[in-house]
Amino acid sequence: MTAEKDPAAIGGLRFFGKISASVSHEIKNVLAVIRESAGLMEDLLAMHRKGLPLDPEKFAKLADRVGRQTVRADAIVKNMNRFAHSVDEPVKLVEVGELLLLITDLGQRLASMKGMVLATAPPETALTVRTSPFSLELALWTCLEFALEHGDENKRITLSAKPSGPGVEVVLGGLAAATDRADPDYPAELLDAVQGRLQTVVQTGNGAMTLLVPDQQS
Amino acid sequence: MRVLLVDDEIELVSTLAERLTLRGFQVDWFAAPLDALAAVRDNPYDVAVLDVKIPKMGGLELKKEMERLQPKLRFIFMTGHGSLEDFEAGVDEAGAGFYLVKPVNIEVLTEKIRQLSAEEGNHP
Repeated sequence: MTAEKDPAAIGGLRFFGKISASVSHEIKNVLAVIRESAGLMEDLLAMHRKGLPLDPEKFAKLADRVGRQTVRADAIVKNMNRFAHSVDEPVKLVEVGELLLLITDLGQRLASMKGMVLATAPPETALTVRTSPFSLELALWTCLEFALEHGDENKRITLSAKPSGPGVEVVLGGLAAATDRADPDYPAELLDAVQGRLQTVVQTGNGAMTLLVPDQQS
Repeated sequence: MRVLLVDDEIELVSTLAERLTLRGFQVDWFAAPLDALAAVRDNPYDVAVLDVKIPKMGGLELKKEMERLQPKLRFIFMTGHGSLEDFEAGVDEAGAGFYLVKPVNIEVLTEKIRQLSAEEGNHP
């Protein structure tokens, strides 16, 4: 199958594009806050030159805001960097808790736009599996997009993971109980293609989506 | 002139509001679209400045709701580069007004608010 016709390849490119667009939007917002904060300082200085008193506390708060926004931007860029490097190796040892945190961070804005809360319950001990990091991220993201459209009344999707034989089981909880593969929105083509690459199984039902991810050394 | 600002980035919208206030506008700002709608229900505004991508209710949908409450209200949209295509796709349907790309130039925003406020028949 050529890349142009491979649903997993097309889905992967779209996924990369979506994440890049979302991250650039986030950075744009950070820059906008910094720009307006600097602009407000300039406004206050201009008024001071005309004889109005200057409030040092106000400047301290604005400086603090700029500092916090740079920390926020740094976290956004670090996540993007980690995500970008997930295509470096086709198969590697993946720390599943860290990957869940990354997907949760990257999905926060999408969840917020849909009025949903996205959370991670990381495994209590380090949980690793040898697999394709990018394909696992693509599978998780595809499930997450579906889950965010089909959440239950609590409007909270939680990602968690636990050992399962020689692999891991990743669960997205918080879906409406009746949601399953028969749903017309279910991304069957893409998930089936990604499952083929990961040699994984996606199960949907009982208010959750479960990915059984085998260790590819096994 | 009374201006309504809506953006889910609280530190952005509050700072913009402060800068517009220093320029002589009476400004109310909101991070949640439903709170902004409640304000439009209770208060007359000349211009609403809306982010295109507002959680739970997009800027274009919010505009439609606000127009039902205040048909003479004028609109300015703020958008990131990433949402420009989405915005343009919805313009025909919603009859959207002027838009600025973030980060906005405060003097351009100020001028546009004054211009829209001065248009005939806009004052309540």
